[in-house]
Amino acid sequence: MEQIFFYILGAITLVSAFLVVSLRRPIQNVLFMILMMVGLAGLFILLHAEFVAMVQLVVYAGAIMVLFLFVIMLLNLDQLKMPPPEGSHVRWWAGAVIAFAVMGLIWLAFKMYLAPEVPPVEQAGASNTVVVGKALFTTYLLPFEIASVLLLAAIVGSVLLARSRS
Amino acid sequence: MRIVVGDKSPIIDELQSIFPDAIVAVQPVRDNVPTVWVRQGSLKDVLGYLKSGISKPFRTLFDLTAIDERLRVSRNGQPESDFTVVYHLISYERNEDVRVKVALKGDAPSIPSIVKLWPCANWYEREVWDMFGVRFEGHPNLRRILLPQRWKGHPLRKEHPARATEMGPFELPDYRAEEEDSRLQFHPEEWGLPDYGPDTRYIFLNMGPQHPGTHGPFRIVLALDGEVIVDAIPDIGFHHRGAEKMAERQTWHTFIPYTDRIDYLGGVMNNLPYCMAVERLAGIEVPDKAKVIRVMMAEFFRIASHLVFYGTYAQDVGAMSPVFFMFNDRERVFSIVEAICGGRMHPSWFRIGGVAQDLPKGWEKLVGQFVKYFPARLDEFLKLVMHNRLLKARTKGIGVYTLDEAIEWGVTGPGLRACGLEWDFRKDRPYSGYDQFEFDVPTGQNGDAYDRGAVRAEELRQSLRIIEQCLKMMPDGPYMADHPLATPPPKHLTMHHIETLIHHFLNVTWGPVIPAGEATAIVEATKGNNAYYLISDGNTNSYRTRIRTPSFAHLQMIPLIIRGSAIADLVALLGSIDFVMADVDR
Amino acid sequence: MDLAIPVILVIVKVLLVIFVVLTFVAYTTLLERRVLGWFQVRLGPNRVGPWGLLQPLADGAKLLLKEEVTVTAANRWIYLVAPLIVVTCALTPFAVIPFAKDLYLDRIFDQAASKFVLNTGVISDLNVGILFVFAVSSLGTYGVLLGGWSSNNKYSLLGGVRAGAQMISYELALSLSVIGVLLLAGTLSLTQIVEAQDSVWKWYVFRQPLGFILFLIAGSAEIGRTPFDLVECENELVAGYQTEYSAMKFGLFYLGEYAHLLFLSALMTTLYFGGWQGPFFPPIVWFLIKTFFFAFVFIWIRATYPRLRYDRVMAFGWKVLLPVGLFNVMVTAFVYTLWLQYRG
Repeated sequence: MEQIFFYILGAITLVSAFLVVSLRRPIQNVLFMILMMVGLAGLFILLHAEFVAMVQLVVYAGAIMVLFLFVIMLLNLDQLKMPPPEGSHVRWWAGAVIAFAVMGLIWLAFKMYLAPEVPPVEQAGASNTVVVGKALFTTYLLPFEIASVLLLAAIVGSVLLARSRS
Repeated sequence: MRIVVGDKSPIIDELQSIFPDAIVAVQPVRDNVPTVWVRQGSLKDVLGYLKSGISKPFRTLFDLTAIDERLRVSRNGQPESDFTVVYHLISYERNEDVRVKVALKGDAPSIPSIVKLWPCANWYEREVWDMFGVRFEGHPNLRRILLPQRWKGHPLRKEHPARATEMGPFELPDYRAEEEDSRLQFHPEEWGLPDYGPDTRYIFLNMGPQHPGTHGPFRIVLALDGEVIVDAIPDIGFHHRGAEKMAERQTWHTFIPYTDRIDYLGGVMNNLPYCMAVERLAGIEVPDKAKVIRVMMAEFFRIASHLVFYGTYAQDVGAMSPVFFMFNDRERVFSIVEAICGGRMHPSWFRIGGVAQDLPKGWEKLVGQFVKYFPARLDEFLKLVMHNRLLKARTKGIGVYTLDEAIEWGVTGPGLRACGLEWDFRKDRPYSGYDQFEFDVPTGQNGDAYDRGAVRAEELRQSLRIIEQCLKMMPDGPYMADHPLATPPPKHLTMHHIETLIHHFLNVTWGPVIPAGEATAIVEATKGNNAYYLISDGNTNSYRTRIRTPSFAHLQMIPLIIRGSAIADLVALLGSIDFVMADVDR
Repeated sequence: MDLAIPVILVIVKVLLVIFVVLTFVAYTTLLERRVLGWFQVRLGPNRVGPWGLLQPLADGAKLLLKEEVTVTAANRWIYLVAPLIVVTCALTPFAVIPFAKDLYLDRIFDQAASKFVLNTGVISDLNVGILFVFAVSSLGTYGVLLGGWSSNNKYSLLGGVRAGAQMISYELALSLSVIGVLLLAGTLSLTQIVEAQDSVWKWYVFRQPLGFILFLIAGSAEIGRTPFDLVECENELVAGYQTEYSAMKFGLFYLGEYAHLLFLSALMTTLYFGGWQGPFFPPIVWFLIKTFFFAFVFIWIRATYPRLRYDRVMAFGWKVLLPVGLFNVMVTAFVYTLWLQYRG
């Protein structure tokens, strides 16, 4: 049962990820990117990471991609003709090679440093929201706060940029 | 009060002493508005002097129109002219009018434009070009305004046919249809907008002629930066029915129903200036009872019209319920109107010399009930609409024009009073016996959309006061003048009096022959000042009927007010102006 | 076999709930029209069936039989998909709303029925229920946005953009206003939140009054009801993003809108008014009474208020609701911690 779902969701995610980079119309790219996010959220659920799945939907699919869509709608980018792919496939191949190399590296890293036998951390009675929350506010408090400050700086910066232009 | 009589007015003396060469003639008219004929070359000087040189200047261009004089017989020593352009100015400080006429010769006449002097002359001059083919030199955008751009001929010229049957069958072959389609393409430069170039960041939004927010077939082309209006071009004429041309075919009597449909919310209020102008031409004195009945019915229609305004005003800023409450009460007004006149929205009930019938038995009870019932409702409406904080947020400081702008652009009625000028024709130039009534003239201070609503809300109460006084003081006596030109003559006389019977027969079959002359009658109508400028050539129908409507001037002002505001503000502004397109396009 | 029966039963249950919800949605339109008529001294639809009760059926039949007008200049696929997204995202969140304690199936069938977790009054008691709600409804924005964009009409576009901006802004305020409840309940599961409110004074509306007001305001903005109905305010934008939609496609948008209204009322009931809890009547009845009361409140507001201007709505969301929401979270956390300390 779980395997069937995994394959369906994996296929959705992979196919839409491929379509994001291969289709030539911005609006289609964005739509498939959203679909990919939804697929990813499904995969997270299969991993019993409901909290991450929902956050994935709310933040990425629900908010960030809306902004992408906004830009495309308002600037009418859809009428923009994307340049056709270049004659030589050098770039394409280079991209593919780099992608595979990175994937290999990651796989190696997992293989070497993450023992596959260790089961996911289960804490009896606590939902994984609680676990994530506790981890964020105790073990990883400093990185969490640094990330917040970084985001705040980004917000201030973007507001400043938008202001000075107009 | 005006003391001017014909050619013996101080303003004419002053003009003659300053421009001894410019004044060609002084024309006596029936309505005692000083009327001077000015040489074309010195027109701008004279108008400029009247607008700013003179003490207590004439700052309002009340009307600008033209007359095709080529077939006119009784001109009584007026200067030679094929086409006459007429400028009607008003000074609120003096409480005086002046009419300036310019004679034009030939088949393709032209005259300098006065848009630089009065920006509101823009649409009036376009209308004269559209209707008479008089070219205005120096006009920024002299295009047809009421008729389609492709129209051939100028309809108010005497040679232009007045009926469809005289024009041959209508055809729309494919190539013409395609041509019409291509005309719908929007080119900003054709509309007097600057050329923003192909990479413009502005959106051009075509609001109307079919749009829920424009109160009828009114089109307004918006150049938008996001939701901010950069420029707005109003486009009118979709409701044009050629009322002025029809007036030249109808008899004086049979034109009355057409006037009802000018401001279709005003009902008999439209009959009033027309009948008054005809009565001035004919020299009919209306009996007291008829005057009071006219006042009462006119105020009922003011209430009906203001209720529609009140409801749609709230509707325009998004409140959906008030309009139903208002229409319910409007229904009560209409049931009274129906009991008295027989008709509801367009009773066509005033007659030359009086009104159509006497008041029915028991009218006091109906009116009395309404007078008792309505004040409590008005309080409720005030709470529901004018005291609502969201409505205040939507209308306060929105669509503001200053008093100076209002006067220059020919804004009249509640829109003018919302700027703080306490000017009401009923008070300042009482007609039809308004001087006998006690009522206040409500004013605002800020000239914004809220004040325009508040002024009208208070006017409802004042109208009710007037109706209450009509109820208490309704005089006895005839409802129709005993005058040979009164149409139709009093019924009881026609049965016993052969002379009156003959008059009745002639006036109804051929129409009354109104003596030659010119007269204007202005009333404080529901939406502003409505004026009929009638020219009789001593015939059974009018030689020229000019209908000056308030909404025409009000709509012209929209771009000035709305630039830099949001679309939502435009809707609030349109709601607060209170216009109907029939009143604009006639 | 062990797997197939519960799956089938779950599907049946889901279909049943969707059917019931859709029926209620249809009757919410009738409710709105009748109640508005009542507010506005007129009758409202009363011709089809007794008290107009068959009106929703007539409307549905009309929408199904009407001609589908597809704008030639529209972006066809997206134009077709947009209403589906709206309806899907409006109906899906009902999956986590607990509408009753149980379904009394164990009384009708034998105890075996309750073995399959089918007896609970909720389709799925997710332990991240409230997050699921926000996740799905944030996806609903796409339907509106894409519908407005793909119609290739300027009014639709403006309506779509307004809708998108408004929904994003108010979703934030909506989520913030709920956090107070989540803090007190200590769970994201809607079923547990309802169970925590087992007596009237434990209803979160009394412990989170500010949060409730914020929720009501942000909620009505989220579903685009007066005074925040800028998305489709007819005086300005004709019909906003729906302008170019006709027949059943329009019907789907309409359905989505009322489903959203009903859902928000149900959520409000669940979060702040003890959900299905209540004396004397069976839980489902209490749930319906409360839900329809809030639906009525939304209609009432619609009959009373004008609408705000777009920029003020946005300013209000960001400059008032958001800070007040944050303030509410801080105060709640502070007081709650103190209380925990005091209690030991």
